[in-house]
Amino acid sequence: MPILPKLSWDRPCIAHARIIGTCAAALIWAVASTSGAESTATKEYRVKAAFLYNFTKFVEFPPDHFGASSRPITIGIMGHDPFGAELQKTILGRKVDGRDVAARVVTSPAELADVDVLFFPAGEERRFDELRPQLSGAAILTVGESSSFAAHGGAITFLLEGDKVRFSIDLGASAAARLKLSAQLLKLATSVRAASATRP
Amino acid sequence: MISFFPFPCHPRPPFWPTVATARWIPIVLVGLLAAAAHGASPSPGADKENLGDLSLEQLMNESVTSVSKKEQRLFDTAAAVSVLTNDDLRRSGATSFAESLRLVPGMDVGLINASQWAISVRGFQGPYANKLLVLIDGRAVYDPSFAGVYWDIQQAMLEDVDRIEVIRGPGATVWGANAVNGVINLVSKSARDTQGGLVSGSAGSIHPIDAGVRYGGRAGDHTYFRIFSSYQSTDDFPTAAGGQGGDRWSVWQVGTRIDSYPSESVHWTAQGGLTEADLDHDKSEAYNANALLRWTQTSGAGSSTEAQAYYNRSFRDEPTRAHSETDIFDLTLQHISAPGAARQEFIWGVGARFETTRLEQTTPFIAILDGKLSTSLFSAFLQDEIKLVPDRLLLTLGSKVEHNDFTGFELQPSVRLAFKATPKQTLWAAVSRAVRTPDDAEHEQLLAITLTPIVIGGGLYFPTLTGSSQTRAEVLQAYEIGYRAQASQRVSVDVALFYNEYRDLIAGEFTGNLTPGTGPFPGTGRAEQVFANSMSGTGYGGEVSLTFAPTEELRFTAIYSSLLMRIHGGVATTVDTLERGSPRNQAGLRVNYDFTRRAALDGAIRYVGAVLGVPSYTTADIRLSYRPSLQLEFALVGQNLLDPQHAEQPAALGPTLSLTEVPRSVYAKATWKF
Repeated sequence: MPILPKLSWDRPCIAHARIIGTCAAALIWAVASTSGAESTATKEYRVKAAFLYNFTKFVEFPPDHFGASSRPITIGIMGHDPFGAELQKTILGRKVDGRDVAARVVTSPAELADVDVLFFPAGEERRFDELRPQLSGAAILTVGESSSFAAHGGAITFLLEGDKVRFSIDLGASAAARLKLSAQLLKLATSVRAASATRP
Repeated sequence: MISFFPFPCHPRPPFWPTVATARWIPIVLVGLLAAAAHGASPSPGADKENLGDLSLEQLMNESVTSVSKKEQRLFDTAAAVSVLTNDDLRRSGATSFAESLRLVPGMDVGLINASQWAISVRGFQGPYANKLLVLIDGRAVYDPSFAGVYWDIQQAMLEDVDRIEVIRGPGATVWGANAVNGVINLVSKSARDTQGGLVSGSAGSIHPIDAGVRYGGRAGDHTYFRIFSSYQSTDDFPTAAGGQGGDRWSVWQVGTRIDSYPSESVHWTAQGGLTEADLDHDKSEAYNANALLRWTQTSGAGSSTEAQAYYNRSFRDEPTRAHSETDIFDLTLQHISAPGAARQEFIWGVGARFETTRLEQTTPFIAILDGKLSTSLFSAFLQDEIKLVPDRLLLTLGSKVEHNDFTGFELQPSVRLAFKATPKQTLWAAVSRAVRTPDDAEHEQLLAITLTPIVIGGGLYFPTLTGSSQTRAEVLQAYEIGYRAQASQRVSVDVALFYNEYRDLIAGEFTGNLTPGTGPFPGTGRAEQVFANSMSGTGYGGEVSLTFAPTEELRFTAIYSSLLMRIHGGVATTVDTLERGSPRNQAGLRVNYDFTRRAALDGAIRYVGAVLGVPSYTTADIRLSYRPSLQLEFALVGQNLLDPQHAEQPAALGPTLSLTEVPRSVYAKATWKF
């Protein structure tokens, strides 16, 4: 085994470090300046937006839900909107069961009329409790993205598994809203919580 | 992006394996080709695609990790923090908790032999590294007899690990003594997030069998559980001469975790496990058994209270060291109060810890003097986070006060300041004091360790090292600064620099007492050595990590770290061990590439500087994975590919540890979730 000479923090190393540092900094800002214009929503929310649109296809509303109206299927976003323009882009020109798909931000209970799917972004779960009287019995598919949302009794909850978006389903919550979720949706859910008899 | 990778920085070309330089060119080429191929043919997941066109199944396969997804909290922390996610662990191909730490910038990770690791951070690397606090789900896993970690019995089922958090630098204000140079916290997933079954199996050249099984289910409306078991066998590693190391071993574990959410504000966890290792061709045995309860209550205003209790028993029976049994009982209570929109957030905690160690002699080289020891530790800490300027300037003040049986009261304060220059840039600085209290062997007349013999006046004398009640705590005064920037959604950079001043470092010192004729062999004597606070020193350097994700499917992570140690006082060989026992420079480049929705290629190149006569090495890992469905994944992994074998740790470890080299290896693995 060779005996190592005393190593020193020698100058060539520092010179290298300077060059490397300069290159790295240049690279960072070059990339930063070219990619600054991209959409504000992260990939996570782009995927979640697509999921929300997909959910409208796999949920069956009660027979009297739309009545004679030809209004669009509406996705409501509670409080602050994490999607930017992404959700609008996703649903633009799409039809589900012959209906247009619309999305809008909801800030008060009065705006819940005509909302069919209601998304609670992280941080807005407390609004779920506040809206409980309005939501009770209403045929609205509630979707959230935090584990506390699931605990509060939301119907579908997004979760991240590694770097993939997954969802869990609470059948008690969807049944209370008189919604039928398709078998395909149930099959793909990470976990399905069965409806329990004790649930209101 | 490969050009700035700072390999050429190593100052000593003679030890730089030039052949290896040629060898890793193909790896870089593969990476470049992959990038080029990607650019040439946009995959279905390309940026501008409307994701509304995808089916549910396809959406579930979309990768959403981007540089910007780092937790905001982490981004704002005034400390050098790194986090390995579950995905990082899977894609690294690491086969154990210890091995996965190679991914962390600035971590000194070396294999001594097939089962033993020398792991530290910012210096003091060695088999008995004692300045790092390691926690598994809140349970401190160091052994009180040497204040270090026996990594062989600290295993985790990596599939169910949520993340591994690493703090480089002192974390003593919250975590207490031992959190001197760093804190590692492995956090496993809640049982709620591991519902269903998982079976994994792999076969390979150094781990002939590596298998795991987990099942998660529910018990009632709010309670989730999982049970799991895993087994891993490891073959003999080669010696430097190419022979068999005799260090073959195997480890299995079984465990359970229950998580319950009886109301929206309460979460309790109960978990327990048993890990058992058969070491050195079944000549040695070790096990660890533990049980933990944790109860957390949160209030609407952002306040929370957490109570935790655990019991840990570890057992080792080694003919080359000792027979030891350690029981630890630990209680903590922690409260965070964040009164609404107030500018201050208080965190306080109290803790008590009781340890009992019993030792029996198995070798004349480690004599057990008084083999039973019980100690207790009481601690309290208070930390105040003050928003000096909301969303701009955050000041964190705090201190821990501890009382231990050996050195009495110890104070461990810190001051940290984080300045958010812009929402995407944070500058931070910290000054902290941390202590390492003497361990059982250093302070008590517990055991006498026989070291490598020396010649004094024509006679052969074995230095014999015992504890001394005169030892005081080692003290670190640390100064750190750092910078984090999220240059865009695709690029982030994290830099930390530190200057550590150590005093009262503990090492063996000769007392001058020679007793001829008492040595372990006829005609030899003993030279008395005792542990003493004989050294001081400085350590300085820094760590850089840079992440660049040119597309959603391709990500590069480059890391570099540098460390310089200066030690004063003490025996020359000890000084040398501390100054050169941790690599001066380390660097690594990782590439994660999803080249189709179902297939991914991960590669890593690592450079580790020379330590104490062990030349520097450069090596590479590659992992190719294919997912035919959401439930199934196949992976083919090659590790340490650039040379047939290499040494990572020096031979001067004393007579009780065998030294082998790390061989090139491959394994194939299948993972099935249902």
